[in-house]
Amino acid sequence: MSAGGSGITASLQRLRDGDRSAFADIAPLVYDELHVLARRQMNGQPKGHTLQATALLNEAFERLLRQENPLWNDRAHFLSAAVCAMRCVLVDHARKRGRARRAANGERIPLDDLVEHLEAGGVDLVELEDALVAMSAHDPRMARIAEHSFFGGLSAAEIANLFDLSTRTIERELKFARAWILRQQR
Amino acid sequence: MSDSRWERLKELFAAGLEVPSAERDAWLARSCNGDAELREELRALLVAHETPSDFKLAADDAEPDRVGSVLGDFELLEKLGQGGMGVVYRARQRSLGRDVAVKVLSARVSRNARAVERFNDEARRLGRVHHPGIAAVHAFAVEGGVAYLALELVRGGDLHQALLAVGARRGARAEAASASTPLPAFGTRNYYLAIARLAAAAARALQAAHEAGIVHRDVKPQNILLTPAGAPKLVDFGIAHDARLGAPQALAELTGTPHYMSPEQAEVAHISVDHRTDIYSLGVVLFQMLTLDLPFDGETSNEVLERIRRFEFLDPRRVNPDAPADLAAVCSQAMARDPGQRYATANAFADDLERFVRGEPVVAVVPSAVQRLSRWLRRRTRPLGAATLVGVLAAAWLALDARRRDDFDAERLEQEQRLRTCSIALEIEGAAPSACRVKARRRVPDVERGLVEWIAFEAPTRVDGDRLVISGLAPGDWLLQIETGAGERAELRRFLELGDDLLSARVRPRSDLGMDVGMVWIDAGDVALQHEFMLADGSVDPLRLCEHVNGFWIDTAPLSCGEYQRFADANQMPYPVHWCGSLPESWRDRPVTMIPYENALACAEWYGKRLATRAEMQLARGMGSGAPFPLDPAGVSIAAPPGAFGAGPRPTRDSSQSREDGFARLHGWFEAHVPPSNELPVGANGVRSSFGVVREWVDDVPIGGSRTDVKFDPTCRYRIGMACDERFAAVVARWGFEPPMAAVQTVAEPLVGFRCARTARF
Repeated sequence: MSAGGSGITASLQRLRDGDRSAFADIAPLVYDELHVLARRQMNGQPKGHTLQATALLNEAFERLLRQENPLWNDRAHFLSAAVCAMRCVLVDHARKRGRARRAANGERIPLDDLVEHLEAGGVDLVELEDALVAMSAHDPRMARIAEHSFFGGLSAAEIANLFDLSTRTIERELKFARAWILRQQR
Repeated sequence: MSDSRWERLKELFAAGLEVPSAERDAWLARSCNGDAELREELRALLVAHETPSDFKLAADDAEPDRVGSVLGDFELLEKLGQGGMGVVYRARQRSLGRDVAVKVLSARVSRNARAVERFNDEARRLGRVHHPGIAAVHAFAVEGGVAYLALELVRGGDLHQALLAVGARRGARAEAASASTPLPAFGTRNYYLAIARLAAAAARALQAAHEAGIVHRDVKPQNILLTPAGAPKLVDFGIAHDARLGAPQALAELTGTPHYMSPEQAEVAHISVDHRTDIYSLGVVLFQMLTLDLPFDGETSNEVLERIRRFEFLDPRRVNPDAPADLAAVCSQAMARDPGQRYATANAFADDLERFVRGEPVVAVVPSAVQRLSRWLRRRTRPLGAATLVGVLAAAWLALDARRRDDFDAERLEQEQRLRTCSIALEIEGAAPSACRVKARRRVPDVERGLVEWIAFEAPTRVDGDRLVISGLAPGDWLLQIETGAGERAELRRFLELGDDLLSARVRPRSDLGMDVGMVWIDAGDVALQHEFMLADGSVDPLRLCEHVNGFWIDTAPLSCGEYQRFADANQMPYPVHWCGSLPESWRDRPVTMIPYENALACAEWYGKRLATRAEMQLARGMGSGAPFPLDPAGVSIAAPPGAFGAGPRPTRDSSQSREDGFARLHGWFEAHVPPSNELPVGANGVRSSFGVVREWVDDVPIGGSRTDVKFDPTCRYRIGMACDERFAAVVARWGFEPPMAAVQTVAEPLVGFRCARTARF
């Protein structure tokens, strides 16, 4: 009934085969997938905040469509791209907000609440971004796992599925990643 | 840091997690072999790991250990266990000097105001239930952002542990004497009597909960605690499988084990789950006690659920031939696939179990008994006298069975009224709740008669503070009309599921005056609509049901961008993505698109209206029960709006534009192909058709399932029509008319808008 994963994979295949019209077909599917991710970001949030999920969604959607060379292999690959897009959108916002705060104009920009929600754990998104970049120098896979967990809101089991690893491995990686990121903060 | 050093750090970190903090220094010194840098890095990481911080990665849901801390009246003494929803502690209630169990809800749950509200509600209702088989609720509170529940402390293990012990003892008979379980040795007469008593006591406890309007929804051995004397106490009511807590997106996210789920729970789009789901689950527990095995198992949750959905009838005696036939029959009846075939109430289940304990014949009839009787009849071909005798006996037996069914029905009716309804608490803007009148109608499919009916219901209402509470609504697809004393009106379309007790909603009644501008009145009529049912082999069984539509008002054109902007500005809703942040002036009168269903619904309700239904759209476009999906009454295609399709190249066809901003592309599409509403062709009744330009959400919860087991899918809605990005001309050529619609999940899609309708005054 709904746009399923196989639909995306098939369209992505066509896109890779050079059929640019496949892009039009996947736009709605991309949107669906992003919507699920964006909603998860807002899980447990008061209702008004779900509107921000839509804002995040719209921005990430825009960014994805703007990609230079969107040659995603399959749904998993695409999902990674989507998570990456959301990470970029959120970190960009956090940076802008930092500047806005320094300018002290007090004006709120969209996504503020969402950024605040994500930063409620005491980790600054910009610092987190720096930590993730540093981490990927040592261990790119761990950085991507942490990214999927934090920005994609995916559970360990889902990430395990995506990376074709065991849930235990993902949990172990995430434990280390969390400790390492917290350590970078101080 | 070199790669090997990083890997070593990771390894040691994983190992270090297992080391108690008191022994850490020694361990660090030992493991790091004098590498001071590595040692300090490792120490810092382990400290960081233990530092309480709200910074979480998904897998790292470890809740802080609160032993020693105080929550309100309760001093947490010892951690007893951890579940999906939180951590359970043994605690001392200071004011009364007694030991209790305190369940501290996880931060994820505590942050969710609605979830906390539901826990509170559950606790309040459970607090009124006093039953020896239910762990008593002492308190519920939120303290410093931490929500917790204080419960009666049950010393002794749970049934899950007891069954493990029974299994272990059965495997190693020699150690039988040393293993202490509350249950006698497996397979003995005493064992079967004990489990029947235990199940009966659990069923009585469920009955008490059901009478208080609480469905457990997660009955399993882990949730049946045993007192030192072996009596069961149920815990974790209606909590673990509450879909409203963070909306599970996938089966993988379902908490706990699927093995005890009833077939109706296993259906993702279930029509309703009521108290009989608990009867089923307790039946599974009985099955497990009878056989020490699960009725359905599989490698993955999906496999288990698939088996639950497909099974017809289960006999525990196929797993354990030594199980008493009567007790096996009771188990099978409780686990009947069709909820209507199960015991109507938990009490009836308990009665039958107690009959078994007393050595009386049970009421449960194993379906195969009928088959056995007929097989036996067939074998007896000889003397007429014997056959007649059998006939008489069979007739007497059937009569007895019929009487039992009558008893069940009366009881069931009463139960259903009490257990199977929902309420809505309405906040009404600008009107006193006492001055409001409500009219409720439910959309009910009747496949046998080929109808979809709208059945009016006199819903009991009461004023609760500043809210108007409408109760007694059965689960299903409802339309509520609200009219204030001043003649203002609002409408609300909601799909209610069991457990939606006190669903809250806000309405904003609008004055009648001016509401009908841009709307036309359509007279009542009948419309035949196609629905998709599934056949056993998975193919689609198209079935047309006739729907009677009362007279209604409908927008002559889809909602415009300008009208949506007004709503969005007033409610701080985001603009559609392709507006690029602001509404171009020339788009003001064009149909709004890229709207998710939820926003369309919110917008319509803000205007005091609701979304048009599929049947209403058909009727408004002049299509009655005659033609299936014609474009217009005469069956000729409508005139294409200029440039709507075919005229220009599809932008994405041109590979030179592939690197263009996809977002601007959507903007360009809209600019080029979607005309102002007043340029859309006028069809029957003066209603403008958006066909071939944009699609529109229609507010019908799809009806599906099979013809014999009709289900709603509340996660989906239909979109009617065609958008200009679809190969319109080709589709028309292919079908000669509008193709059948498939319901989709309710997310925003490019080029999908909506139009409003409203019901006649009452």
